[in-house]
Amino acid sequence: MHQTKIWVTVLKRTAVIIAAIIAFFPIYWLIATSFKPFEEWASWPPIWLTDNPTLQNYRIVFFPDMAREFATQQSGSLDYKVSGSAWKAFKGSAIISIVATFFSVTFGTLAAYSIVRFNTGGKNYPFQFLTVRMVPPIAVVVPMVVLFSILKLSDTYFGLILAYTAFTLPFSIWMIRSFIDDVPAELEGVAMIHGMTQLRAFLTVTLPLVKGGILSTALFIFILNWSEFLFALVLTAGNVVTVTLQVANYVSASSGKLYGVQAAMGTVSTLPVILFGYLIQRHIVRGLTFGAVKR
Amino acid sequence: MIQSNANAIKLEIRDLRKVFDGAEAVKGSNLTLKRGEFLSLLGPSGCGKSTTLALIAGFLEPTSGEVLIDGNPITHIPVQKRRIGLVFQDYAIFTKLSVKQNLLFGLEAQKVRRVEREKSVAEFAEKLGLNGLMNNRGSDLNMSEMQRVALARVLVTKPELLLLDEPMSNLDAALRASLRGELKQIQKDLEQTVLYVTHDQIEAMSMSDQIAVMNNGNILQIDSPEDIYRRPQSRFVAEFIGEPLINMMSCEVFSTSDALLLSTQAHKEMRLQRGWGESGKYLLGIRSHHITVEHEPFSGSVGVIVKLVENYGSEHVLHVIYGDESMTVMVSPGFAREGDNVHVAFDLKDVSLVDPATDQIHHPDKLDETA
Amino acid sequence: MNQLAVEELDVTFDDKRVLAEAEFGVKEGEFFCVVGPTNAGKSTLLKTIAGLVQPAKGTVTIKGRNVTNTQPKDRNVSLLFQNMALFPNLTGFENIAFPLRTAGTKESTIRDRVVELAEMLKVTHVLERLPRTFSGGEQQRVAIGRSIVKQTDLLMLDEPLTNLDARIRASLRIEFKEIHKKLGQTLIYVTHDQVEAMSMSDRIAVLHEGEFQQIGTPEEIYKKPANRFVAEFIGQPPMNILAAQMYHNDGVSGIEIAGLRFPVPGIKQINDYNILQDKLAIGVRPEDINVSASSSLGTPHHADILWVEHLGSKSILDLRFGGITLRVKVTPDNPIAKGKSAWFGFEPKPDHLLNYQTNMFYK
Repeated sequence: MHQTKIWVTVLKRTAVIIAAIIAFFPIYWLIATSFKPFEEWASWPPIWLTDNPTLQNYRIVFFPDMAREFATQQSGSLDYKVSGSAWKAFKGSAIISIVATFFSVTFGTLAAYSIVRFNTGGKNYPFQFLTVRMVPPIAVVVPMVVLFSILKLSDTYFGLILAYTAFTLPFSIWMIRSFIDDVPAELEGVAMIHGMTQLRAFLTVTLPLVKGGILSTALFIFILNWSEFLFALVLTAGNVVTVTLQVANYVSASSGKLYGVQAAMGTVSTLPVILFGYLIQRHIVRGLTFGAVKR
Repeated sequence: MIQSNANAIKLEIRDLRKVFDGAEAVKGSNLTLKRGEFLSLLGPSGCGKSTTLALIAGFLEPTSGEVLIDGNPITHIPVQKRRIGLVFQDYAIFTKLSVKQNLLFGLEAQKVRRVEREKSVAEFAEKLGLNGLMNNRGSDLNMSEMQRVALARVLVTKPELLLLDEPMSNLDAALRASLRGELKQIQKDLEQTVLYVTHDQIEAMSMSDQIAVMNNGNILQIDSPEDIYRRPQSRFVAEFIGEPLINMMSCEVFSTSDALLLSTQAHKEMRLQRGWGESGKYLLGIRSHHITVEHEPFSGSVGVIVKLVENYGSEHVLHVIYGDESMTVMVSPGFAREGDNVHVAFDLKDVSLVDPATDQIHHPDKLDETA
Repeated sequence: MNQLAVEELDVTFDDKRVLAEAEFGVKEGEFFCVVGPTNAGKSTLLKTIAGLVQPAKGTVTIKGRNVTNTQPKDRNVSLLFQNMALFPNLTGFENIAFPLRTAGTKESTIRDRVVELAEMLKVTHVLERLPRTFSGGEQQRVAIGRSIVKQTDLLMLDEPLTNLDARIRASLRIEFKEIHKKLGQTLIYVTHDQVEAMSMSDRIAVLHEGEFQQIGTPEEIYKKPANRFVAEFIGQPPMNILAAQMYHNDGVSGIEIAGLRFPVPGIKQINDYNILQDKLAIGVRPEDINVSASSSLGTPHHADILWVEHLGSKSILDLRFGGITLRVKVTPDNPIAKGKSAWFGFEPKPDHLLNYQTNMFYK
C-alpha cells in the first residue's frame, strides 16, 4: 500500500521464514540422518548433508538379514543385532490405527449427532467427555496395565484398539460435534417432512455435508494413533509391535542407539500418514473451512 | 454554541473513491452534512453505503478523495483520533456489564480523568433517561433501553459526528417504528450531527433531514425526504422510495401542430404543457395514492378491473389491470373487492416521466415552472 | 370441516411454556396468518404441526385425522423454514425435486413438474446451479418451489420474506397471494410483520408470548381488537391509547381526555359497560383523527405539532396537548403538516374503550 511500509513486510516475511526453519528442521534432520553412514550419525561438528549417502539404514529396516550379510563383507561396517521386524511393526500399526480410528470416528459421529440433535446428557455432557483427556496418560498407565492383565487384553491387537478408541473418542466427539452443529436442523426437518425417517435424514442429508469434517477428524485421530508410544510400550510384550516400538528396538549392544536406522524407520513410517492425508486432501480443505463459513 | 456556527458544515466528503481489487465500491462521492443535521445514506445491500461509512470512520483508507470534519481534512488521521462515534447493528451492548459500566467503557478507553468520567456519564444518563437503570445489567434491558444505552455510551465521548450502521435491521417491524421516534427525538434534543446508514426507506424517510440515495457506488441524489419522494431524479430513486412501489406504465409522447400529447395504454392523448421536449417512448411513473378511483366513470377516467386487494389496515391497495399492465391504486378500506370494475384517472402534475434510455426522470410540472 | 384443527396445544422447552392452550382451526383453501413479535412461539407452532416438535399436551388434527403422534413424514404437510434450508450440496433442480424423489416419483414426471414450477417461479436459470450462487430472492423461490412441488394437505410458511430487501418483499408478497389463488392450497403463514399479515390473509391469529390474543379477519382484527396488545401491534403507526374519563352532561355522554371533551354519540350508560372510571382509556386510530388549520365542529381542540414524519404517501403528526402525545395520520399534501399547531377532534368508538388494568377492551 505504502512504500514506507516495506520494512514491515520484510520483517514479517523474515519471521515467517524463521518459524518455518524451526518447524522443518527436525524433518530435514530425520531424512538427512537416514542416509548417513554410521560414522556420521552422531559426529561433531554435525554433518548437514552427507558426502557418502547410503541405503544401508533402509536395508537394515526392511531386510535385516541381507544387510547383516552385506555388512560382514564390508570391513569396518556396523555391527548390530535387531530385534523384531519392521514388516511386523507396520502390519501391527496399520491394523491398530485403522481399526481404532474407524471405531473412534464412528462412535464419535453417532455420539456427536445425539448430543447436537437430542441434547443427550444435558449441557455439560460434552465437557464430561473432555475430562478423559485432562488426565496425563502416564498417570493411568499403571491401572491400565493391571486392568488389561486381568481382562487378558495385554499384548493383543484388540486391547490396544480398545485403549486407543477410548482415548481418542473425546477428540472425535468434540470435532465432529462442531461440524454437525453447523448443519441447520431444518435441513433434516425438510427431509423428514418430505418422507424420511430421522435416521434416513441423518444418513442422506447430514452425513454427506459433514463428510469432509469427519475425514479431517479421522486423519487427526489416525496421526494420534499411529504415533502413540506410551500405551503401546506398556500394554504389549512382543506379540504385538507398532512402528513407534520398532523405532525403539533399533539399539545395538556395542554401538548404542542406531540413530541412522531409527531415522530411516522414522522416515518410512511418516509415509502412510502423508499418503492418507493426500488421499483425503480434497475433503480436508472443505472440512476445515466448512465451519468458518457464515450460514 | 455561537449563533454563526449553527449552519456550519460538520462533515464533508470530496470525490471519495474506494477500489477493492479493481472493483470500484465507491465512485467519487460528494456529500456535506451540517451541524445538528440527520442525514441518511440509503441504498440496497452492496451499494457502497457501508464502505462509505467505513471510509468516514477511518476503518478504510480511500483510494482517492478527502473526508473533512469542521473543514479540516481527517483522511489520514487514525480511527481513534477522529472523534467520531459509532453505533453498530443490534446496538452491541455488553450484556455482562451494568448500564453504568457500559457508559463508562468508552471514556475509560479514552483515558478520561475519573471525576470527568463520572460527570459525563451522569449528564448523559440524565439526558437519555437512564438514571433509574444505571445498575441494571445489559442483559436485562428491553430494546428501547438498549438503544438509549448504546447511544449514551457513544455520546458521552462527545463525538463531533455520530455514525449509525443499520442499527435496527434485525428488529421486528413494530419495535423499529417506536425506536425510530425515540432516536429522532434524542438526536433533535441533543442537536447531534448524525449520519445514518440504512437499506430501509421508511427509516430514512421518517428520521432524516436529508437523504442520500446510493446505488452501485454512486450517490444518485441528495435531497430532503419530501423532495426525494416527490421529485426523484432517476428511475432507481423513484422505485426505491415509497411503499407501495411506484407504478411504471409504458407511455408515448408525440406532438401535433397545436399541442404535445401523452398516451398510455389506456389513457389516450392527454395534453401536456408546451415546451415539454421531445416526442418518444417513456415510462410513466405514478404513485398509487396519486391515482383517483371512483365506482362510476368520471371526466378523464378509464375503466379497469380489480385483480387483487391488499389490506393495509388504514388503507387498501388495489391491483388493477390497466391496458395489459398491472397498476396499484391506494383506496380507503372496503372500497372495492376482487373482480370489481372501477374507474381511474390521474393528474399529469403527479407524474414522473422516465427516459428508458438513460433512466433519468423529467417532471412535467417542474418544466412548467421553468418554462 | 376444518383442514387443520389444533386443540389445547401446550409445548414446553426445558420446563418453559412456549405455547399455551393453542386452539384454532384452518379451513380448506384458507390463507391463515399467524402474526406476533419475535419469540411469540410462532415457529414452534409450525414445527409442532409438522411433527418436528412434540407437544406436552393437546392434539393436532389434519383433515379429520389425529396426527399428534404421527411421524412428520406421514402427516402430508409442507413447511418452508425461515432460513429456507436449501440443501447446499444439491442443485436448484434437485432441491425442488427432493420431495418427489423421496416419494419415488417417476423420473419423467419429476422433470416435467420441476420445470413447470421453475417457470412459474421464474427460477429456470438457477436449476443447474448450487444454492450458494443464488441471490436472496432466488433462494426464496427455489425453497418455495420445493415446498409446493408435491401436493400436500397443508402448506406452512415461516417468515418467508424476512431478510429480503423491501423491494423484493413487496413483489413476493403479491406472488404468494397469486400462487395461493392458483393452487387453492390451505396455507399457514407466519410473520412478525403486521403489514404482511393484513395485506395477504383471509384470517389472522395474533400470537404473543405463547398465547393467542385474537383470531379473526383482517378487518375484525383492525376494527375490533380484543385487547391492547392487538390494538397496538396491528396498524402502523399503532393505535393511540389515552387515559380517559367518562362524563355525562345534559343527556350527552362522552369521554374526557386531559380536560378535553369528546362526545360519543350512541354511547350507553356508563353502567351498561361496567366501566371502572379510574381504569379507563380510549384507543384511537391515527387515521380517525381530524385535523384542520382552524377551529370547527369536527376539530374543536387545539394542540401543538411536536414533530412531523413524512413517509411519502402519508405524513404522521405528533400532536401534544395536556401532556399527552397523539399520533395522527394525514395525507402528504395536507398543509397542516407545515404549521406549528393544529385543531383536532375525533369521535371515540365505543369498541375502543379500554380497561388499562386488564388491557382488555370493554364489551
